[in-house]
Amino acid sequence: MILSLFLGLLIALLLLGVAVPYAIGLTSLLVLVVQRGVFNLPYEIIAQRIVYGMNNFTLLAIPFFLLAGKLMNVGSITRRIFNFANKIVGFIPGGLGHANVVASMIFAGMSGSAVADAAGLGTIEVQAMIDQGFDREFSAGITAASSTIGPIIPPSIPLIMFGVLGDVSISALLIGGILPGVLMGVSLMVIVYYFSKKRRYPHENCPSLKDFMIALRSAFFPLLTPVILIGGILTGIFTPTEASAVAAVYALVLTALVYREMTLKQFFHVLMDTIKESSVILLIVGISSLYGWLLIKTQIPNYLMERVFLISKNPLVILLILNIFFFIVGMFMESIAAITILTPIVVPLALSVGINPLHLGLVMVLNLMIGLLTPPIGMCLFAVAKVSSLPLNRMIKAVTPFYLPLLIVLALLTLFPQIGTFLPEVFFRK
Amino acid sequence: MKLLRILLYSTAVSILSGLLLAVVAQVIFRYVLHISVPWTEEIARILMIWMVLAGSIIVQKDGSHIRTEFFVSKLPLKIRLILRILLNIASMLFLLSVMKGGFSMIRHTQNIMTGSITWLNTSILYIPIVLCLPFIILFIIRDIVSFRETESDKSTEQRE
Repeated sequence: MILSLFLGLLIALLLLGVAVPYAIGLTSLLVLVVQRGVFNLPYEIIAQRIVYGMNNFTLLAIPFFLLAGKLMNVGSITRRIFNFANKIVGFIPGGLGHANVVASMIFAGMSGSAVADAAGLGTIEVQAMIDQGFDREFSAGITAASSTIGPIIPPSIPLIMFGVLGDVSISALLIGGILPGVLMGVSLMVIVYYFSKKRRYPHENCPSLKDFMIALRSAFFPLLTPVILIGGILTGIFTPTEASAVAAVYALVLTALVYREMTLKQFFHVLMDTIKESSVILLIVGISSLYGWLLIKTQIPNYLMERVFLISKNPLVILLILNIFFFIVGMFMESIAAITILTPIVVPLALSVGINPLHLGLVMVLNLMIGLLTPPIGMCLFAVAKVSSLPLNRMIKAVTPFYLPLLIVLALLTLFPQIGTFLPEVFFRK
Repeated sequence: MKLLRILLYSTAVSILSGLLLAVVAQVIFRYVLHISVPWTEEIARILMIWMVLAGSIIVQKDGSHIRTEFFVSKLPLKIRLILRILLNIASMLFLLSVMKGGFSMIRHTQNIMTGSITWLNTSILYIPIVLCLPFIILFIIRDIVSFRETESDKSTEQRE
């Protein structure tokens, strides 16, 4: 009864179009009503849990990484990165397609959101590719697919949320995302190469050293952002939250003082967008803290664990079941909502069969990022369809070939946890 | 309404700037001046809660919460209207229960000091709940009313 209320009601409310935080809150409230009756509701606990959920220093990384990403999207920073990427890989057949992927990988080291990549960098990438003779579908497809690298290579808002809600080291999660993110990029470049050969897409000439140096000089300061971020976290100079604040200040100095490309009005818009997006995410986190607390009090994770154990106790089988489950969830649910609702349920399950929670976090986030490309609810599909002026049905068709490389990386990461755990073990071995 | 918007936007932007300053100050104090300053973390956490709740008013006003309209948009107009009213009322009931809890927590925590700022008590964490939630509820009521108007206009257009 309580389980169907917990999951059934929540899913029903979400499908009925209730805003995610209210759907989670209403479900929690109804569970409390069923348990304690209308007149004995623990109002203090409701308020306390919500504040407790938000009262977390690590969560501050979310607004700061959002701010850094948005500041990088103002002015010419994205163009500089794209030009630089084009100089490195533009000579390979399908040049701009590869530049698209490499630029997304570099941008992923500055921004933690796939949609920010799709909507910001995506606008420049799609236009440049179409201008050079690539067809619109291919340009849009690779742009959407490469944007999903954003939340895998650090910084990453979904990984921070998973770490906070699942009590997993944020630094380890972020560093653990580097190799899977690079693999995603390489696998996408392989498929770009295949299509480019087949369709005779254009490529640039090999750049002269002078051209390369000009592009490097132009993109040098933005390229330092991932170095500062990842280097700061790896060397232990910054915590992820402090690194996010430093990244935001660095992006502000670059955009406003070094390149002088931001008006006061644009800055105000960036700040307002950051506040709005942070509030959307962090209110969900706060209210899910009440939901998570109730889940544990009613021992639902234990109950689900027993049900799953009836099928198997083999970690690999459980990871396979979870992967199928995450994939279906990712098709219908926005990734932030899915992470907040599912993390408190799946982490105890993973721990009980010996799955490294760090590995689970990476598998879950990568899977949900593929969900950003799948209909009916695919935020990156919507964002790139908009910037590339493609109707949604053609956009879905355009992105379909790129599921394959991403699913292969997901399968590799599932089968070989070392892809995710190797770097954290090297750098954070106690 | 314009005054409220200006007040809200400037408050939210000031809080975000304060947040950034607090965390950057923490880095500078620790790595440049080698001084441990615990209040920067505490102040940043308090400011974040204020920013999220003030920002949630703007999010509600702009209708930018994450929601799935895909399935509900397939339903007939009348059912959508009824659902919207009922679900918005339910959401308001949830927010009212949070508000009631917020008032109680302010009373209970008035004499409990925060960890590192001795002149500040813990009720500061609950004050934004009782300050901001009424505005969120007001905007939900506005949503119900405007939804009815918009949908009636649409159906009139369709009949014509």
